[in-house]
Amino acid sequence: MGSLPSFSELVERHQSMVFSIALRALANREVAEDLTQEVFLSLHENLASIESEDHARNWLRRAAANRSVDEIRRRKYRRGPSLDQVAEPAVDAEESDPMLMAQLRESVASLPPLPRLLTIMRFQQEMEPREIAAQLDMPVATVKSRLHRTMKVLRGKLEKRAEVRKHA
Amino acid sequence: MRANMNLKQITAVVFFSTLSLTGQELDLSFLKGLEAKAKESTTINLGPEQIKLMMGFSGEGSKELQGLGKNIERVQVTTLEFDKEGMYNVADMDNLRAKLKTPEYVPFISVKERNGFTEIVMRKGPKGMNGFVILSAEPRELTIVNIVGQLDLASLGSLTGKFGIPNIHMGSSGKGEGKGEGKSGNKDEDEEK
Amino acid sequence: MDEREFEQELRAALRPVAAPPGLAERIVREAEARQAARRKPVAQQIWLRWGALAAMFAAGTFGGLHWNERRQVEQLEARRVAEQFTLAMSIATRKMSKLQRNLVVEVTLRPGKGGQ
Repeated sequence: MGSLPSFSELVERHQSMVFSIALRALANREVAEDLTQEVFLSLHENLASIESEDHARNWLRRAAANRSVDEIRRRKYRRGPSLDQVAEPAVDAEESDPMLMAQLRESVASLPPLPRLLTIMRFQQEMEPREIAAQLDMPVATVKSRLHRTMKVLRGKLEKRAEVRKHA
Repeated sequence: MRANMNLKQITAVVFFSTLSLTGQELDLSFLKGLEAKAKESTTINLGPEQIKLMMGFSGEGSKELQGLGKNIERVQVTTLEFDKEGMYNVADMDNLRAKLKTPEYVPFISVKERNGFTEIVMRKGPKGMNGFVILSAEPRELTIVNIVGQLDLASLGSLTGKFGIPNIHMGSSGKGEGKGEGKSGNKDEDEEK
Repeated sequence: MDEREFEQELRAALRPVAAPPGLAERIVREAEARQAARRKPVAQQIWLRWGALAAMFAAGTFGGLHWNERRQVEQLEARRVAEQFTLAMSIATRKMSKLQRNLVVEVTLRPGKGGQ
């Protein structure tokens, strides 16, 4: 398990993980930054209850997921820029098919909160369904079935976009 | 003709007016004994004059603060932090809780926790709610917040993330950071389309 | 595209990104500021500042200040009250936030309304 690093070390080591979850969940860099800060500030307040770095990482992942879900729901009811507006650059020089990447990100960003987070936990954080279930307090079977259904939906969305492009 | 009130009625009006005036500032003198035992304590008591002074503040964030403070008459906060559990008795708060059971107050939320509780009680005013009281008893911390006036939550929202004010999600169903969000608050909302 | 390929593309699309430069420093700074605000001996501060003001009044210097200086003193006091006010709001919202997290059902706070 190891001893617990300092708060600033925890921030350095895990800020990208938290930011990435938030960014893919919220599709907005500024909001993702704010959320990242709030997650770590919450960790800071609860540091006394953290036992190890592993514990901290799990705590952060869970907090990032929960807050992202809350933020998605909250922004749904607020006037202002739509959640679909992607503030990050849509094109990355390293991507072989930038358009496909952008479409996939948009499709994920259009999912309801929980399926969106499940997708991020599985395909960004590379967590197994039983790990996701433990983190989010859900039955494993539910996680698996929701992921399976979400994949079908995402593939359907992608096919629809391809159709639209073909006929455009 | 009802132009002249009799003495009984006048006394009643004065009595109840006085009650409502003094009812706005909470008497927290019972905490004096606990303050001595606390590792740290914070006491804030801002009345109308001080809030008026604050409205003249012209530094960073003044606009948001003015938005927040414009309808507030009093802000009272006492927080006591203790070194370890068991240094105060939750029953110490019973006296205060009893005072908040008068018709002037409306219970809003009460959550019992392992070794304590958190309660919010709303205060009635002539035009609806006129503030609230938060009582929070945790194993190593006791907090009392008394806000008199109309707290503009939209302005508070604009201040979150600044001046050390944390985010508070209005209408969110999030559970504790340490616990996962196993079930969606809205099943329809979480169905993929 | 078969299922495996699709999942690979999804992984690529959702891959982690680096946090923006300077974010870590901002977070640590904010955490330290909040901790300092929580620990600030407010009562002591009030005493010191009021003491300084009282001394000025006693010395009759306040009346002798130019308009500018008087305004500065007023602003100093207004800032002091503003700090206390925001600290109070910080404590209140922290408690409400904690309460909200512990609730099973959704609660919406409606300011200014409620039964009579």
